[in-house]
Amino acid sequence: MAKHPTIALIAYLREELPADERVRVMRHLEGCATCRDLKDSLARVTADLARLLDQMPAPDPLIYRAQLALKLAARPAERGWWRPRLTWLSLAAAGAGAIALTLTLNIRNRPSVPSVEQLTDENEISDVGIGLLRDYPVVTHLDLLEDYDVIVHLNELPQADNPQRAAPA
Amino acid sequence: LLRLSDEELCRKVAARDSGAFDQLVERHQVRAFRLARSVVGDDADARDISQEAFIRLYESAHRFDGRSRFSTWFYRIVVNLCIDHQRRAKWWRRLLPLSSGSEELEQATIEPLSDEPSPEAEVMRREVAVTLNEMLRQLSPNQRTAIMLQVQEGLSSREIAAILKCSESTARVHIYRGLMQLRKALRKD
Repeated sequence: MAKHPTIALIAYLREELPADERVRVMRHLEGCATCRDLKDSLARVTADLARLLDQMPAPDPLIYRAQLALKLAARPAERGWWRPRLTWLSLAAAGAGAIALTLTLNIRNRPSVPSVEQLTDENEISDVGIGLLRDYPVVTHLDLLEDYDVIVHLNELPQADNPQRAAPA
Repeated sequence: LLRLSDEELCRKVAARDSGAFDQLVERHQVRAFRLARSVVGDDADARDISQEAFIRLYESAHRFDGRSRFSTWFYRIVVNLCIDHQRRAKWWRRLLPLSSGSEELEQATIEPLSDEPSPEAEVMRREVAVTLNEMLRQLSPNQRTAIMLQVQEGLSSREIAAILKCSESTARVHIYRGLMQLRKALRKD
């Protein structure tokens, strides 16, 4: 015997099957008591369920429609309140974000401008060998150390033989 | 307006005809509520979801191109909202592990709706709701939705497949397996 067309039985009951399939199911049912019983059983369950659903409680139609009318009336008001506000907020947030992004990119990509002192120092040492650049801080302080040394030993300097600077009698 | 089809009414809603919208709500409010109720298992949530679906219908009626039936298009909105609701509910359940889904379902069944029926009708209403809850709870969300769309809305497997975004054969499998589960549950009763 062919495979039982169990799934197709509902469609068969509702006359949804194409003609060729309908004939095939019908022929099967003629020779299969199990499927005939199942078909009758499914038809009974469907009828029982339809009966139960008819008794299923539903809200009072007038109250239901009054509530619906209120909800529908409230809808444009709600939209008027929050939708434009949300739009303006979104635009403001997007604008602020764009400005922040532009500033960040601008700062990152901008070439650093050297100070006047830096430029002078760079010009002075540009003629010197590149090895000096490594010791740049030492080089810049050399003159200072020299001056300090002179100041410390200032009193040890010999007196100058200048008659004009000698004290008057 | 009474004579117009759903599709024609929807086109009028797109042109902001409030009478056409009222007519569509009147035709579909119970079914939209029941579909949502069967998927989410709670009266209050189902009411909110179905009302939200009507609001979406009002707002996006101009997008209905008429290639499918109105019911296919509209119940797709309802099902999508139910799926969104289920996702949110799962998220909350992870945060609040003490509240289980089944307890919520029982609570929802006991809580009365806004109208005040007679005590006998209320008892019967609860019994039906409990039976349905018990039965539908055993099905997967896809099975529940597929069965509801077929039994209540009379949609074809192809239309159900379009709503569930699956193949026609998968939709048939959902319906078949769901009905087999329900058969077991009904036999127990």
